[in-house]
Amino acid sequence: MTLEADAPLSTTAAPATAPKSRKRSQILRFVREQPLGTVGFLIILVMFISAVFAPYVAPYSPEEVDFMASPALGAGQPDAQHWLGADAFGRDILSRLIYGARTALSIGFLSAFFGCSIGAIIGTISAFAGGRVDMMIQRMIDVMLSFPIIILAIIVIAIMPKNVVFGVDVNVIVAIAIPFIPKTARVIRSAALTIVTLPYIDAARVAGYGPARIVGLHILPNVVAPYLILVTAYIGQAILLEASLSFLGLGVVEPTPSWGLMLSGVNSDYYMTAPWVIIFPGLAVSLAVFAFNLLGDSLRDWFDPKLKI
Amino acid sequence: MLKYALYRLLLVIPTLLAIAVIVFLLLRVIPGDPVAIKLTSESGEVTEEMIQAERERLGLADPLHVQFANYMVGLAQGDLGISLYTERPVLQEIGVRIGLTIELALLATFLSVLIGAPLGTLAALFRGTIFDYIIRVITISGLAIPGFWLGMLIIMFLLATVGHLPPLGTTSFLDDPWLAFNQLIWPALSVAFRYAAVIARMLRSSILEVLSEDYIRTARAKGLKERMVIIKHGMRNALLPTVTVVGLEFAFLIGGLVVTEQVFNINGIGKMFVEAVVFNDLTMLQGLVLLVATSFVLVNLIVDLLYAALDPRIRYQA
Repeated sequence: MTLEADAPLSTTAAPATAPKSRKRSQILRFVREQPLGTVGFLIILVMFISAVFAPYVAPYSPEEVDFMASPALGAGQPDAQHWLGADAFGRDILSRLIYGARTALSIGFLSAFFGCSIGAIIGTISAFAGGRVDMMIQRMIDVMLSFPIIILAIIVIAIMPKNVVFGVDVNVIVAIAIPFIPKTARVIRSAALTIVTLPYIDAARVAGYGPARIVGLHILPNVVAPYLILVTAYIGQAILLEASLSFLGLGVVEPTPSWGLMLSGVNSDYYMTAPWVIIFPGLAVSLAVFAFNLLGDSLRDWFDPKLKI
Repeated sequence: MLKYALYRLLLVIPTLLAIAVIVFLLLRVIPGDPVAIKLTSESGEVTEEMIQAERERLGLADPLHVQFANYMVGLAQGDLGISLYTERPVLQEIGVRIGLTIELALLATFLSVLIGAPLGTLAALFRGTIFDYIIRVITISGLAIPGFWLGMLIIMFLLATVGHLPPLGTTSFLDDPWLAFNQLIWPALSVAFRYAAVIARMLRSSILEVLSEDYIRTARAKGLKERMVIIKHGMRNALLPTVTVVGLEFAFLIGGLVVTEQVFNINGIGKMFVEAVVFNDLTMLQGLVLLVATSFVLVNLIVDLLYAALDPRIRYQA
């Protein structure tokens, strides 16, 4: 279930340098045994670096309009100036993809992180409390799970007022995070249920610790493995959801570069004359989600093969 | 079996009630005033009195508990209220458009089984070989490719090869099966790819789990042919969890076709959802959310009953 199984090994290793080399050999073993996961990780790394250093990597500004390069005038083909072509406004697609990676990764990470964290806390409380509280929480989760995630996200968008903090669209993040809560709560609850029955939880109770301390310090740290696997897998789902919402016009709004947004509006009129306008943004979404899925899958095989996500 | 069916049926009632209450409360906390937005979009110049009058006409000026009572009484009589935007009964509006969505969902489910089941079986039977790896990459990319983008690629492909798009419209399978099929096959395919991946992965892991069971060893030890072992003893048991996945997939598709319907311009439930949000149509949104949740709960019920019929262990447990 957890990493506990091989923990005793490290306590027997005496030399001070041992943990470091052990860590390195663990990484090497992961690379050897999970080649697909390693590929996923490398793709994510490249995206992350180009997102962080977007101003240095991108050849143009993502909002630089040049109507002479628009496919509407028969221009904008991928060439030496615009490697991946230009969109309806003559904006460089490669640059918009690179800046779009910022939107995708930040919204993806934040929403997966918040959704999974809240879900993990609820799941742990549900398992620890048991009885009526557990029943109530589980029925609530049943209700939430009876909606497709896109519908749940759309409902949140409909309900919440527009809210932008530090240039980040909070609504979109909340809308994407909420569908992850019930799913994570389910998975973490079942992981926590096996821990709740262990003697050290009884010991903590006997020692007089309060429920908050037991949940926070004794149970939560032991469901970290499934939690990390879920966060990784859900970043991919979140990126997909962000793209879908932006495509529908309910997510990120212009002129923020977003992969989903690049596929909507006027850009979708260029099926025949400018296929590059449609092909590359979709490819970027697919590649990102693919990479996170590969990594998530491999992390599961590595830490917790029986986990159902 | 009857006892289990009754027990399962009783469980549905509190769930549906909870959904109805939650939906009501959620949509009442919407910050923007739907009436004000509606009037502004219609006539521009709007006074406070006009808004108040309209609110009273639509029953939105009543205290919350009165609104709730009206809503629940309405629900009991199968009345979902009047759309704030089109002024027509919500149920009627949904009725006009749900057929297309159900047909699309059925076709997509069918296609996904057709694609996913063989892939999952192959991957399990050839575990660890190059087949398994290729299928794994296919299924993971199935989960990664956005359905709407796949739809756009399909449209692009159709334009490049046939030169025109599939006919768009609302022909039902009941009227003209061939035309309806032509209309829906491409959108169905763009959705089915993803669910085929889900089914393939599910089936692969459940086949592998079943094949390591004792009774499979017994069947082999009995001297049964390998084909018989896999088909009669393995597949029958491995298919059970997949039945659930397929059922739930269908249930989810009723509401989950939002993006696909947008790409292929299909006038179904999914497009209604986006319209309801854009036009701030509170009652329509309420009706749609209820519809999606109810259809999920009911399909789930059917799947559970089916499952219990197929696997005696379940009805004895409950």
